[in-house]
Amino acid sequence: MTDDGAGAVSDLIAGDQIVIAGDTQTYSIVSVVNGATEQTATIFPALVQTTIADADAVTVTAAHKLAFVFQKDAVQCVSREFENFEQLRRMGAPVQRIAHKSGMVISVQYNGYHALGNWHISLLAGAAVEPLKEGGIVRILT
Amino acid sequence: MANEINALVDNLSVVVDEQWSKTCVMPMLCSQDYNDSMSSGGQGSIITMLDIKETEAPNTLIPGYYPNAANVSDVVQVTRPLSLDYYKEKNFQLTSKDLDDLKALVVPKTVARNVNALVEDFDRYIYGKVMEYAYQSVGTVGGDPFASGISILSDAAGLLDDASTPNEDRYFVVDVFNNNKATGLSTFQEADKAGPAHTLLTNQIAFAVNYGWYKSNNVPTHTPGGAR
Repeated sequence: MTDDGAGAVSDLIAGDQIVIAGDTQTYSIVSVVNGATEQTATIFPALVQTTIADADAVTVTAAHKLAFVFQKDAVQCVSREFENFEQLRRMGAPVQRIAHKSGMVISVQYNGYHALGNWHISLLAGAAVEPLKEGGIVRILT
Repeated sequence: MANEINALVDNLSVVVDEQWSKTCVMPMLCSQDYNDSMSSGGQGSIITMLDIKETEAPNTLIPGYYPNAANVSDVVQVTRPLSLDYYKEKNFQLTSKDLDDLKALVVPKTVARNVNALVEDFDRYIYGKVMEYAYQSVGTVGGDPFASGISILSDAAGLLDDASTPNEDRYFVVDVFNNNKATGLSTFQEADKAGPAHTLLTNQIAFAVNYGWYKSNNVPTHTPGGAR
Protein backbone atom coordinates (compact mmCIF):
# COMPACT_ATOMS: atom_id res chain seq x y z
CA MET A 1 0.00 0.00 0.00
CA THR A 2 1.41 3.36 -0.97
CA ASP A 3 0.46 6.38 1.08
CA ASP A 4 1.20 9.50 -0.99
CA GLY A 5 -0.46 11.76 1.54
CA ALA A 6 2.33 11.24 3.99
CA GLY A 7 3.78 14.62 4.65
CA ALA A 8 6.45 13.53 7.06
CA VAL A 9 8.60 10.47 6.60
CA SER A 10 7.58 9.09 9.98
CA ASP A 11 3.84 9.22 9.32
CA LEU A 12 3.03 5.54 9.72
CA ILE A 13 5.07 3.17 11.84
CA ALA A 14 5.12 -0.58 12.31
CA GLY A 15 2.42 -1.67 14.72
CA ASP A 16 -0.07 1.04 13.72
CA GLN A 17 -3.61 -0.08 13.11
CA ILE A 18 -5.41 1.52 10.18
CA VAL A 19 -8.90 1.50 8.72
CA ILE A 20 -9.49 2.26 5.05
CA ALA A 21 -12.71 4.09 4.21
CA GLY A 22 -15.40 1.66 3.11
CA ASP A 23 -13.62 -1.41 4.48
CA THR A 24 -14.72 -3.31 7.58
CA GLN A 25 -11.34 -5.02 8.00
CA THR A 26 -8.69 -3.34 10.10
CA TYR A 27 -5.08 -3.68 9.07
CA SER A 28 -1.83 -3.69 11.01
CA ILE A 29 1.25 -2.02 9.61
CA VAL A 30 3.99 -4.64 9.38
CA SER A 31 6.69 -2.36 8.00
CA VAL A 32 7.09 0.90 6.10
CA VAL A 33 9.56 2.20 3.57
CA ASN A 34 9.85 5.96 3.62
CA GLY A 35 10.17 7.84 0.36
CA ALA A 36 10.67 11.55 -0.09
CA THR A 37 6.98 12.30 -0.38
CA GLU A 38 5.30 8.96 0.17
CA GLN A 39 5.40 5.83 2.27
CA THR A 40 5.02 2.27 1.11
CA ALA A 41 3.53 0.13 3.84
CA THR A 42 3.25 -3.62 4.14
CA ILE A 43 -0.02 -4.48 5.82
CA PHE A 44 -1.54 -7.51 7.50
CA PRO A 45 -3.86 -9.15 6.62
CA ALA A 46 -3.78 -8.85 2.84
CA LEU A 47 -6.15 -6.29 1.40
CA VAL A 48 -9.69 -7.60 1.65
CA GLN A 49 -11.57 -4.95 -0.24
CA THR A 50 -10.90 -4.85 -3.97
CA THR A 51 -12.63 -1.59 -4.73
CA ILE A 52 -10.29 0.74 -2.92
CA ALA A 53 -9.66 3.90 -4.90
CA ASP A 54 -6.86 6.38 -4.95
CA ALA A 55 -7.29 8.99 -2.22
CA ASP A 56 -9.56 6.84 -0.05
CA ALA A 57 -9.21 8.05 3.53
CA VAL A 58 -6.99 6.09 5.89
CA THR A 59 -7.64 6.43 9.62
CA VAL A 60 -4.98 5.50 12.13
CA THR A 61 -6.17 4.13 15.47
CA ALA A 62 -5.16 6.46 18.28
CA ALA A 63 -2.73 5.49 21.04
CA HIS A 64 -3.93 2.40 22.89
CA LYS A 65 -2.80 -0.24 25.35
CA LEU A 66 -1.94 -3.51 23.70
CA ALA A 67 -4.24 -5.93 25.42
CA PHE A 68 -4.85 -8.80 23.03
CA VAL A 69 -6.04 -12.35 22.54
CA PHE A 70 -4.09 -14.82 20.46
CA GLN A 71 -3.61 -18.45 19.66
CA LYS A 72 -0.32 -20.05 20.64
CA ASP A 73 0.71 -21.06 17.13
CA ALA A 74 0.50 -17.47 15.91
CA VAL A 75 3.64 -16.52 17.81
CA GLN A 76 6.83 -18.53 17.57
CA CYS A 77 9.75 -17.96 19.86
CA VAL A 78 13.22 -19.45 19.58
CA SER A 79 16.36 -19.02 21.68
CA ARG A 80 19.82 -20.40 21.15
CA GLU A 81 23.11 -20.77 22.90
CA PHE A 82 25.54 -18.25 21.47
CA GLU A 83 27.81 -19.99 19.00
CA ASN A 84 31.08 -19.03 20.69
CA PHE A 85 30.11 -20.32 24.12
CA GLU A 86 31.23 -23.88 23.61
CA GLN A 87 34.54 -22.66 22.25
CA LEU A 88 35.03 -20.36 25.23
CA ARG A 89 34.08 -23.14 27.59
CA ARG A 90 36.79 -25.38 26.13
CA MET A 91 39.30 -22.62 26.70
CA GLY A 92 38.46 -22.75 30.40
CA ALA A 93 37.01 -19.28 30.80
CA PRO A 94 34.62 -17.80 31.42
CA VAL A 95 32.56 -20.19 33.49
CA GLN A 96 29.18 -20.56 31.86
CA ARG A 97 25.98 -22.50 32.19
CA ILE A 98 22.76 -22.58 30.26
CA ALA A 99 19.50 -22.09 32.11
CA HIS A 100 16.75 -23.54 29.99
CA LYS A 101 14.10 -24.96 32.27
CA SER A 102 11.67 -22.26 31.15
CA GLY A 103 12.15 -23.23 27.53
CA MET A 104 14.44 -20.28 26.89
CA VAL A 105 18.21 -20.57 26.66
CA ILE A 106 19.63 -18.07 29.10
CA SER A 107 23.40 -17.93 29.32
CA VAL A 108 24.82 -17.47 32.79
CA GLN A 109 28.43 -16.52 33.11
CA TYR A 110 31.08 -15.52 35.60
CA ASN A 111 33.75 -13.32 34.11
CA GLY A 112 36.38 -13.62 36.79
CA TYR A 113 38.48 -10.79 38.16
CA HIS A 114 37.12 -11.06 41.70
CA ALA A 115 34.57 -13.17 43.48
CA LEU A 116 31.90 -10.54 43.95
CA GLY A 117 31.97 -8.90 40.58
CA ASN A 118 31.14 -9.36 36.95
CA TRP A 119 28.31 -11.83 36.77
CA HIS A 120 26.49 -11.91 33.51
CA ILE A 121 23.24 -13.21 32.04
CA SER A 122 22.34 -12.96 28.37
CA LEU A 123 19.68 -14.06 25.95
CA LEU A 124 20.01 -14.73 22.24
CA ALA A 125 16.54 -15.17 20.85
CA GLY A 126 14.06 -14.26 18.20
CA ALA A 127 10.34 -14.28 17.67
CA ALA A 128 8.20 -14.42 14.61
CA VAL A 129 4.54 -13.62 14.37
CA GLU A 130 3.63 -15.21 11.12
CA PRO A 131 0.23 -14.75 9.56
CA LEU A 132 -0.51 -18.40 10.06
CA LYS A 133 -3.75 -19.59 8.62
CA GLU A 134 -4.48 -21.44 11.82
CA GLY A 135 -3.40 -18.67 14.16
CA GLY A 136 -4.66 -15.23 14.92
CA ILE A 137 -4.21 -12.17 17.07
CA VAL A 138 -6.98 -9.71 17.97
CA ARG A 139 -6.33 -6.43 19.75
CA ILE A 140 -8.57 -5.43 22.63
CA LEU A 141 -8.66 -1.66 22.33
CA THR A 142 -8.78 0.26 25.55
CA MET B 1 38.16 -21.18 44.38
CA ALA B 2 37.55 -22.49 40.89
CA ASN B 3 35.32 -25.26 42.17
CA GLU B 4 33.41 -22.81 44.30
CA ILE B 5 32.85 -20.52 41.31
CA ASN B 6 31.65 -23.47 39.27
CA ALA B 7 29.16 -24.36 41.98
CA LEU B 8 27.99 -20.76 42.25
CA VAL B 9 27.46 -20.48 38.49
CA ASP B 10 25.50 -23.74 38.62
CA ASN B 11 23.35 -22.29 41.38
CA LEU B 12 22.98 -19.00 39.53
CA SER B 13 21.62 -20.85 36.49
CA VAL B 14 19.06 -22.54 38.75
CA VAL B 15 17.84 -19.33 40.36
CA VAL B 16 17.81 -17.51 37.01
CA ASP B 17 15.53 -20.26 35.67
CA GLU B 18 13.32 -19.94 38.70
CA GLN B 19 13.04 -16.17 38.48
CA TRP B 20 12.56 -16.18 34.70
CA SER B 21 9.74 -18.74 34.92
CA LYS B 22 8.03 -16.67 37.61
CA THR B 23 8.02 -13.41 35.71
CA CYS B 24 7.98 -13.98 31.97
CA VAL B 25 4.68 -14.02 30.14
CA MET B 26 5.05 -14.13 26.39
CA PRO B 27 7.86 -16.69 25.97
CA MET B 28 5.82 -19.06 28.10
CA LEU B 29 2.73 -18.63 25.92
CA CYS B 30 4.43 -18.70 22.53
CA SER B 31 4.97 -21.81 20.51
CA GLN B 32 8.48 -23.04 21.22
CA ASP B 33 8.09 -26.25 19.29
CA TYR B 34 10.96 -25.19 17.04
CA ASN B 35 13.27 -24.59 19.93
CA ASP B 36 16.12 -27.04 19.48
CA SER B 37 17.60 -25.46 22.53
CA MET B 38 21.09 -26.87 22.58
CA SER B 39 21.98 -25.84 19.04
CA SER B 40 24.04 -22.72 18.90
CA GLY B 41 23.56 -19.62 16.80
CA GLY B 42 24.89 -16.16 16.23
CA GLN B 43 23.25 -12.77 16.40
CA GLY B 44 21.19 -12.35 13.23
CA SER B 45 21.24 -16.07 12.44
CA ILE B 46 18.19 -17.23 10.55
CA ILE B 47 16.49 -20.22 12.11
CA THR B 48 14.45 -22.26 9.68
CA MET B 49 11.37 -23.42 11.48
CA LEU B 50 9.56 -26.45 10.20
CA ASP B 51 5.81 -26.24 10.31
CA ILE B 52 3.69 -29.32 9.87
CA LYS B 53 1.46 -29.07 6.86
CA GLU B 54 -2.09 -28.14 7.65
CA THR B 55 -4.59 -30.89 8.17
CA GLU B 56 -5.76 -32.65 5.05
CA ALA B 57 -8.51 -35.17 4.45
CA PRO B 58 -7.37 -38.75 5.12
CA ASN B 59 -6.70 -41.08 2.22
CA THR B 60 -9.23 -43.73 1.29
CA LEU B 61 -7.89 -47.24 1.82
CA ILE B 62 -8.86 -50.50 0.21
CA PRO B 63 -8.41 -54.00 1.70
CA GLY B 64 -4.91 -55.30 1.15
CA TYR B 65 -3.38 -51.83 1.14
CA TYR B 66 0.21 -51.74 2.26
CA PRO B 67 1.72 -48.39 3.30
CA ASN B 68 3.96 -46.99 0.64
CA ALA B 69 7.10 -45.45 2.06
CA ALA B 70 7.21 -42.95 -0.77
CA ASN B 71 3.78 -41.60 0.08
CA VAL B 72 4.71 -38.98 2.64
CA SER B 73 2.60 -36.09 1.45
CA ASP B 74 0.82 -35.92 4.78
CA VAL B 75 4.01 -35.03 6.62
CA VAL B 76 5.49 -32.59 4.14
CA GLN B 77 6.62 -29.58 6.08
CA VAL B 78 6.77 -25.94 5.15
CA THR B 79 9.60 -23.76 6.41
CA ARG B 80 9.46 -20.36 8.02
CA PRO B 81 12.44 -18.13 8.68
CA LEU B 82 13.02 -16.60 12.09
CA SER B 83 15.85 -14.20 12.80
CA LEU B 84 17.72 -14.34 16.10
CA ASP B 85 17.75 -10.57 16.32
CA TYR B 86 17.42 -10.24 20.08
CA TYR B 87 20.77 -10.46 21.85
CA LYS B 88 21.00 -8.63 25.14
CA GLU B 89 22.74 -9.00 28.46
CA LYS B 90 22.73 -7.82 32.02
CA ASN B 91 25.91 -7.50 34.05
CA PHE B 92 25.93 -7.22 37.78
CA GLN B 93 27.95 -7.65 40.95
CA LEU B 94 27.00 -9.82 43.87
CA THR B 95 27.68 -8.99 47.48
CA SER B 96 28.96 -11.56 49.95
CA LYS B 97 25.40 -11.89 51.26
CA ASP B 98 24.17 -12.48 47.68
CA LEU B 99 26.76 -15.25 47.33
CA ASP B 100 25.57 -16.83 50.57
CA ASP B 101 21.99 -16.68 49.25
CA LEU B 102 23.17 -18.24 46.02
CA LYS B 103 24.84 -21.11 47.86
CA ALA B 104 21.48 -21.81 49.52
CA LEU B 105 19.65 -21.50 46.18
CA VAL B 106 17.81 -18.41 47.39
CA VAL B 107 17.27 -15.85 44.62
CA PRO B 108 19.34 -12.78 45.53
CA LYS B 109 17.55 -9.47 45.00
CA THR B 110 20.23 -8.37 42.57
CA VAL B 111 19.69 -11.44 40.43
CA ALA B 112 15.91 -11.07 40.57
CA ARG B 113 16.08 -7.44 39.46
CA ASN B 114 18.44 -8.17 36.58
CA VAL B 115 16.45 -11.17 35.38
CA ASN B 116 13.26 -9.11 35.60
CA ALA B 117 14.85 -6.40 33.46
CA LEU B 118 15.73 -8.97 30.79
CA VAL B 119 12.27 -10.54 31.00
CA GLU B 120 10.48 -7.21 30.66
CA ASP B 121 12.61 -6.18 27.72
CA PHE B 122 12.07 -9.48 25.92
CA ASP B 123 8.33 -9.37 26.59
CA ARG B 124 8.22 -5.91 25.01
CA TYR B 125 10.20 -7.18 22.04
CA ILE B 126 7.52 -9.82 21.44
CA TYR B 127 4.66 -7.36 22.02
CA GLY B 128 6.15 -5.20 19.27
CA LYS B 129 5.99 -8.15 16.88
CA VAL B 130 2.44 -8.96 17.93
CA MET B 131 1.27 -5.44 17.06
CA GLU B 132 2.52 -5.87 13.51
CA TYR B 133 0.35 -8.89 12.86
CA ALA B 134 -2.88 -8.22 14.73
CA TYR B 135 -5.65 -9.56 12.56
CA GLN B 136 -8.50 -7.41 13.83
CA SER B 137 -9.53 -5.40 16.85
CA VAL B 138 -12.49 -5.08 19.16
CA GLY B 139 -13.49 -2.27 21.50
CA THR B 140 -12.78 1.42 21.20
CA VAL B 141 -9.79 3.52 22.11
CA GLY B 142 -10.42 5.15 25.46
CA GLY B 143 -13.27 2.76 26.15
CA ASP B 144 -13.77 0.61 29.20
CA PRO B 145 -13.97 -2.95 27.85
CA PHE B 146 -14.77 -4.52 31.21
CA ALA B 147 -17.18 -1.93 32.56
CA SER B 148 -20.07 -4.33 32.91
CA GLY B 149 -19.18 -7.69 31.42
CA ILE B 150 -16.82 -9.73 29.34
CA SER B 151 -18.69 -9.71 26.04
CA ILE B 152 -15.68 -8.11 24.41
CA LEU B 153 -13.85 -11.42 24.84
CA SER B 154 -16.68 -13.22 23.07
CA ASP B 155 -16.42 -10.70 20.25
CA ALA B 156 -12.70 -11.38 20.00
CA ALA B 157 -13.34 -15.13 20.05
CA GLY B 158 -15.71 -14.68 17.12
CA LEU B 159 -12.96 -12.99 15.12
CA LEU B 160 -10.50 -15.76 15.94
CA ASP B 161 -13.12 -18.29 14.83
CA ASP B 162 -13.57 -16.39 11.57
CA ALA B 163 -9.84 -16.85 10.96
CA SER B 164 -10.21 -20.61 11.55
CA THR B 165 -8.13 -20.33 14.70
CA PRO B 166 -8.01 -23.53 16.76
CA ASN B 167 -9.98 -23.44 19.99
CA GLU B 168 -7.18 -24.75 22.13
CA ASP B 169 -4.28 -22.69 23.50
CA ARG B 170 -5.99 -19.32 23.23
CA TYR B 171 -4.64 -16.67 25.57
CA PHE B 172 -5.66 -13.24 26.72
CA VAL B 173 -2.85 -10.92 27.76
CA VAL B 174 -4.06 -7.91 29.68
CA ASP B 175 -2.54 -4.89 31.37
CA VAL B 176 -2.82 -4.51 35.11
CA PHE B 177 -5.52 -1.81 35.10
CA ASN B 178 -7.94 -3.75 32.91
CA ASN B 179 -7.13 -6.96 34.75
CA ASN B 180 -8.24 -5.35 37.99
CA LYS B 181 -11.41 -4.04 36.35
CA ALA B 182 -12.25 -7.43 34.89
CA THR B 183 -11.56 -9.50 37.97
CA GLY B 184 -14.04 -7.35 39.90
CA LEU B 185 -16.85 -8.51 37.62
CA SER B 186 -19.36 -11.01 38.93
CA THR B 187 -18.29 -13.57 36.28
CA PHE B 188 -14.87 -13.75 37.84
CA GLN B 189 -16.00 -13.47 41.40
CA GLU B 190 -18.38 -16.39 40.93
CA ALA B 191 -15.66 -18.45 39.27
CA ASP B 192 -13.39 -17.58 42.16
CA LYS B 193 -15.95 -18.81 44.67
CA ALA B 194 -16.65 -21.96 42.66
CA GLY B 195 -13.00 -22.90 42.18
CA PRO B 196 -10.25 -23.89 44.56
CA ALA B 197 -8.43 -21.39 46.71
CA HIS B 198 -6.50 -18.70 44.84
CA THR B 199 -8.45 -19.19 41.61
CA LEU B 200 -7.85 -15.61 40.57
CA LEU B 201 -4.24 -15.62 41.63
CA THR B 202 -3.27 -18.78 39.79
CA ASN B 203 -4.88 -17.99 36.46
CA GLN B 204 -7.37 -20.83 36.84
CA ILE B 205 -9.88 -18.14 36.03
CA ALA B 206 -8.90 -18.84 32.44
CA PHE B 207 -11.37 -21.62 32.09
CA ALA B 208 -14.26 -19.37 33.02
CA VAL B 209 -13.72 -17.30 29.88
CA ASN B 210 -12.22 -19.85 27.49
CA TYR B 211 -8.87 -18.11 27.36
CA GLY B 212 -5.69 -18.55 29.27
CA TRP B 213 -5.67 -15.31 31.27
CA TYR B 214 -2.36 -13.55 31.84
CA LYS B 215 -1.81 -10.25 33.53
CA SER B 216 1.36 -8.47 32.51
CA ASN B 217 3.01 -5.35 33.83
CA ASN B 218 4.81 -4.98 30.53
CA VAL B 219 1.89 -4.52 28.16
CA PRO B 220 2.91 -1.46 26.16
CA THR B 221 0.95 1.50 24.90
CA HIS B 222 1.23 1.83 21.16
CA THR B 223 1.46 5.41 20.00
CA PRO B 224 0.90 5.79 16.25
CA GLY B 225 3.46 7.45 14.09
CA GLY B 226 1.50 10.46 12.96
CA ALA B 227 -1.93 12.04 12.52
CA ARG B 228 -3.82 11.79 9.26
